[in-house]
Amino acid sequence: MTANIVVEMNYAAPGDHQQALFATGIVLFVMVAILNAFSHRALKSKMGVGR
Amino acid sequence: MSTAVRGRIFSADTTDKAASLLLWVSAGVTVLILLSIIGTIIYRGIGVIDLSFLLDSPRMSGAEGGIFPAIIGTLCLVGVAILTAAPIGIGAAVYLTEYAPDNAVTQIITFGVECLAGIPSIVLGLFGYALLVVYFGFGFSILSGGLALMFMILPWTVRASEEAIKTVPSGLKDGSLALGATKWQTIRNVVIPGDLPGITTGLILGTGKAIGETAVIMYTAGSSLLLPESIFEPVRALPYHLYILASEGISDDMAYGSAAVLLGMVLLINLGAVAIQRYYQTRSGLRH
Repeated sequence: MTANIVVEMNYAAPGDHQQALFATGIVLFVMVAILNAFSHRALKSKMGVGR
Repeated sequence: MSTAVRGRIFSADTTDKAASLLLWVSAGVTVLILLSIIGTIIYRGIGVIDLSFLLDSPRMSGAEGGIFPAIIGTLCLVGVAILTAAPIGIGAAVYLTEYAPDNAVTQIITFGVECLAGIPSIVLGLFGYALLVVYFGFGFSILSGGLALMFMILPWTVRASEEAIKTVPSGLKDGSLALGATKWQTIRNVVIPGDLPGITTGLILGTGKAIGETAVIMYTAGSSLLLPESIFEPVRALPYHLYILASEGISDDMAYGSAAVLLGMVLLINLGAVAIQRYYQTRSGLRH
């Protein structure tokens, strides 16, 4: 997905195509947030701390 | 399996030796990977590196000449990123460790810092393009690229500063407060000077990350091969120059030469971080 943004951003016209690439970015961000939330959970339940 | 763990087939002594060997191999493989990368890059790149390669401008889109503008461009971008990330990062770290109450808002801020650290660099590049280049109208410039890089290293700066602040003995802080100093005076005169080595190391490691970053600056700093005259002009950073040389098949030799120079810069920076840490540790008596 990251590589797709790199390649297509070079010729993406403003409009739907660019919007789709930004949407790809959002999906990537959500994935990161979910992973972080999981690691937070794990830390909390193991050590009783939130950071 | 369980018999082996209980030591019925293999004695405890044997498993102990096997474990030591495996752990040693893991450590060895890590170093081996690093050495083979450095070795390959230097072996293939050293041929084109000389003084004129470092100090000349590129000719024929980089197929000939040197990489001086790209080196300068990299230094400018990293400079902007560090100078903006340092005050914000240290400020956020002081707030999180000294001021922030233990509540939901603080948790959200901490979580936000972690998420920011995890965002793929190309997404930061896209965001930088939309916000800095287009919306703020900075165009492709050192300013846009530097600020986008700042977004990337900011969470690491916050993290490093936080860890550094936690190592300042609370006795020192309590002493300062007991003498009647205000919270801000304590922070300015006791906390910040006390964790300066940690902050400096964190910033230097941030520099190391920023210097090799390609995706963030791709759509923010532009790809001009000219020497910049102000922070509003585009530059091409060294990693992006290397990317273009390699991906457009301009010159493999020049690409490996650029890679070797880039690697050298990163290694120098990391050595600098180690040296600073040692210096402070020796001075404070932690290391003899």
